[in-house]
Amino acid sequence: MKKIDWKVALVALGLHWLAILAAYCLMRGSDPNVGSLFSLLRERFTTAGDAPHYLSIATEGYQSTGEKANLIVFYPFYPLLIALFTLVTRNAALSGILLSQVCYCAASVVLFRLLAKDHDERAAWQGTLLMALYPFGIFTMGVFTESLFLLLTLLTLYAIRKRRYGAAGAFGFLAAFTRTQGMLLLAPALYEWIVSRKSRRGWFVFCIPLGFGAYLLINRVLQGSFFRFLEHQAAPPWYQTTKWISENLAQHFDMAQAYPGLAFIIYGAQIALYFLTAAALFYGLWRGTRTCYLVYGAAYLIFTYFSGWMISGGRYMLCCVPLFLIAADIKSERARRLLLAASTLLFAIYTYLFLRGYAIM
Amino acid sequence: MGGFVAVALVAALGVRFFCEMGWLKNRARVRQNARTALCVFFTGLCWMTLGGFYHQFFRANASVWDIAAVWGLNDLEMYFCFAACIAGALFLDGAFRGGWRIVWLPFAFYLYVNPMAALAFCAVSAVVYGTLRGRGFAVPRFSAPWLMPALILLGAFALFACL
Repeated sequence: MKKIDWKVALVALGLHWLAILAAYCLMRGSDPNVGSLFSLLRERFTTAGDAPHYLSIATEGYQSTGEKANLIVFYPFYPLLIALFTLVTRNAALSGILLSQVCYCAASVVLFRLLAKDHDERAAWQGTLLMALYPFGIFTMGVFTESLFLLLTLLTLYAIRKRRYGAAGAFGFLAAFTRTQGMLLLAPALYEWIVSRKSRRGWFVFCIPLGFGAYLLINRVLQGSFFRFLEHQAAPPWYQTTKWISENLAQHFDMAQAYPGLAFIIYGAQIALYFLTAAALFYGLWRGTRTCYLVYGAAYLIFTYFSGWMISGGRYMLCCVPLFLIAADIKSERARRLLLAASTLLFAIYTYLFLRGYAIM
Repeated sequence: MGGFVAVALVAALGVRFFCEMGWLKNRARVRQNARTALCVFFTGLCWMTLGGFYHQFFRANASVWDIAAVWGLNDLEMYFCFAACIAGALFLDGAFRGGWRIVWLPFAFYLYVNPMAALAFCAVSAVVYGTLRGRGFAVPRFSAPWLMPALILLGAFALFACL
């Protein structure tokens, strides 16, 4: 690793810890009964949202029957890595947190290097800082798949950019073994291969969907059906089905009106993110951003918003890497600063609300 | 709107793909057609919004963009109508320069809300394009200052009468 890589990793991680410490001081200031920082982080990073499910899979594995059989909806690669780390640390929660933060630092470095391939250092910093200050970025610090998926996505895109299709296939396979959206990496890989028409090793890109295939196989072996996870997803507590985007956005709008308290943190944010991401992708088209990135961005956006009853849109869109790649194409200094300032403000607010225990999932 | 945005994004990426593959070499022509497609698209949005407002104020207190209640269409049919209408307008524009402005005419809103009308328009325009392209025909520009407001008024009245 070069000196600049260490700098990028430290800045990215440091910004998160700075926000966490600032939020904690604010909480202590307004409520002296708040416990220690350590106990607060342990609670929020290991018991909020899906974190306990990943820890359960890491320690007990998938279950064929019983109450925890529905945990098969969570992909296996992240809990598998936690289980491996736990062999060393002897603590699954600590392993999960360490794994996430290490992956996040590595993801920042890969993003910086990817951006530096096509831009100057200033633009590369702009994109990297925007990822570090993404409003829902706090999820990269706890037991969530975000950091690992971010790293694998960026490694795949980096390999695609360098037209190393073997590496792209391998990283893409792991990404698809981490989250459903991972298989969408086939789109940019295929696009780049078709447009360049130069590599005989391009066939390796078809390894990417095999990661999803491996997950389907686990479903078949453990619970008797390749698509058992879909049945669990449609059942309580997730109620997730597939619906057309307009229908889902209309539902978010209705929910935002019915529950104004959740509008800012869930539903309103999801609607805003949809249109902002689409606008960013159109801007990328206009500015000449590399098409394979835009293809992935569009596929990711559309696929994510197909999900009915979505409540974690803000977190999901953190892994829409093309957003940060497009941000580096912004030439206006004033627009860059404005974007960074807005992102920083929202990042601080959402970090604070997450630590306070608000329903940011 | 969300669905429209997604479809437009995919279409724009499709055009970029064709350009990068070298199948669309005339960049100026591509830009011109993209602008025309955008104009036809926004004209359709205006027609549908206007119809939605009529429906909301005079018939039922439904949402302006509740296309099922206002026009009896589902999302897929609407995307089909818009796609066929844009394709038809581009064909017509290829045959007569400025021919896409047909979508401004009174009753043209049917092209956006009736799949059969949109399909017929697209087919006829394709035939016209095949027959007349490259002959230098052009639709006279609407230079009279009263023509545009008159067309809009007529169109709005026609819409109101039909709804």
